[in-house]
Amino acid sequence: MVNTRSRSRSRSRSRSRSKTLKTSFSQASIEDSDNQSGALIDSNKDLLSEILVRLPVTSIFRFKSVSKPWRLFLSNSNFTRWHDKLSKSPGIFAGNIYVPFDVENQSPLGFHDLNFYFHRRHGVRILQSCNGLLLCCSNWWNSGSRKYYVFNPTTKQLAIIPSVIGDPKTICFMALAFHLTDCAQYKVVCIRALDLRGELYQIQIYSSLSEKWKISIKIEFTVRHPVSCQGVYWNGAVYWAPFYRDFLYFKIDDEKLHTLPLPEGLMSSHELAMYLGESRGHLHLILYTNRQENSRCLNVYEMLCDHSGWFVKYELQLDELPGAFPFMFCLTSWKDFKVIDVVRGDKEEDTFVVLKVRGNIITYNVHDKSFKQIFTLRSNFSESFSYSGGFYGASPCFH
Amino acid sequence: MTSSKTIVLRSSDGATFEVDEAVALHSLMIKHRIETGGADSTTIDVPEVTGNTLSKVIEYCKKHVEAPNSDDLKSFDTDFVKVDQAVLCHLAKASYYMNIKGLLDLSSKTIADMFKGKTVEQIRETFHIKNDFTPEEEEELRKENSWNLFV
Repeated sequence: MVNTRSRSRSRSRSRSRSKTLKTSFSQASIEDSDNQSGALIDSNKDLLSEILVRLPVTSIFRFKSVSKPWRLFLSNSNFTRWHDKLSKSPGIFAGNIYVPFDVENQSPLGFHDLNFYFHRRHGVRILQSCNGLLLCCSNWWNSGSRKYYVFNPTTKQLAIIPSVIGDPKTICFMALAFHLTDCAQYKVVCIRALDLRGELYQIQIYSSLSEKWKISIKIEFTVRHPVSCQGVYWNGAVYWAPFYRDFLYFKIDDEKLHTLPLPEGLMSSHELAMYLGESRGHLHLILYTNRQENSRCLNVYEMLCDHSGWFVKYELQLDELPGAFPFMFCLTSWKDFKVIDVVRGDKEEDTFVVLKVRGNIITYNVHDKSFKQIFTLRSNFSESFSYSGGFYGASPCFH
Repeated sequence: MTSSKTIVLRSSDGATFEVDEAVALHSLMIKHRIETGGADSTTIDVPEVTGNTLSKVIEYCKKHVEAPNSDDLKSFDTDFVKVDQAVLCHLAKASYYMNIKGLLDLSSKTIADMFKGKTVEQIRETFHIKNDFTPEEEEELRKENSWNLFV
């Protein structure tokens, strides 16, 4: 609704402007015709692209309809990569407040608090961040009346996901599946319990194209422990780890469930804390126990593309943390330490890890080992906050 | 090295402007010309830019070279682009030719902000572009774009 309003406002304003703009551009071309024509057209195009690359995503989508050359130009991968670089603002959501990683630069998203877009809805929580879209739910505390939404923070548009087939109280898990190349639609995967003992489950899939839920009848599986945690979408599949045992992942296209073992040498244990997340097409896993008092050395595992196993991508040495932030580590305790995200950089040397220590959010560059505190939470009740991992300003899908 | 060397810039319509070398060097194009021009490069022609535009460009360079850390730099920039659109377009073009990144960023972003609310038809009018889509193709495009508006 907001988008339409602002469009009509500027339409009346720009009607008087467009005449002057026309004149100025044709004036420019008259001046230019004095020079070599080949170079002129090129330079004009470059100037035009300098202007177009600074347009917001919604305008770029709209202007693809101007003409076929414009459509080609705006979809060209060099252009889109350039636009991404200028407009992307990665960050995390601490609760519903958006915290950009680059604190010096103003967020081009132009918003700070998610609650504004969910007016009159209570208990709004982000469940998952997936390639520029967010899966959220309201009435988090009351499983019977929860409503699920997909929100696009770049265009500020909100879509309500209709109710699943069956009793919503039986929903254990919801995940969003969306990727830039599959841009015609997004899907939501739901796992719900079929019996009270929590041994039989069913998977349903919602598609934004059909706007309907469909029961994936091939799957009725039993797991030894209930499924209830955040999911990750990577490589065409939704991942979650029920109680940190073997990972299960659900491939959406063939609607098959698969298991994926933990990295070699790691035993599952209820003391294990875990990070599982996706960044720039890589799936990362970190496992650690909260019992470790002394040296904090964490392995960041990455999944091989063919799902055949994990390999150690980074070895993090976090011993310097207490020295750098003594007030956070009094009593040399690693209590309230949590890995929130692994963010791969555009260039490998820009890769960093996001940590939460006692209510402070710190970024740690994996290569130059520098720390930076970027945010302090007002309260440190970890259960009130849902970290949805890295968020990248929605990159439009260019055909 | 404090040099009070000055450079003369000459616009397309013959207007000349004397500026400090440091200010002139803010344009990477001029910097390149000076560095490759030899000993006698005190007058530089800028045939792509008219006198009016060049004078404004110099004003921008002066402010950014002489007081780069001043608190009012942001408000200077904001006021600088509060100009007639024709002037803005000439500024953008000049900053592109003269390779002045800050001014190119500033002017391009301002023009982009003016464009972003326009309709497709208005863009076609502005650039004298003919619609070469068939009605079926237009409908297909509209459908493709509807997902991200969650309509």
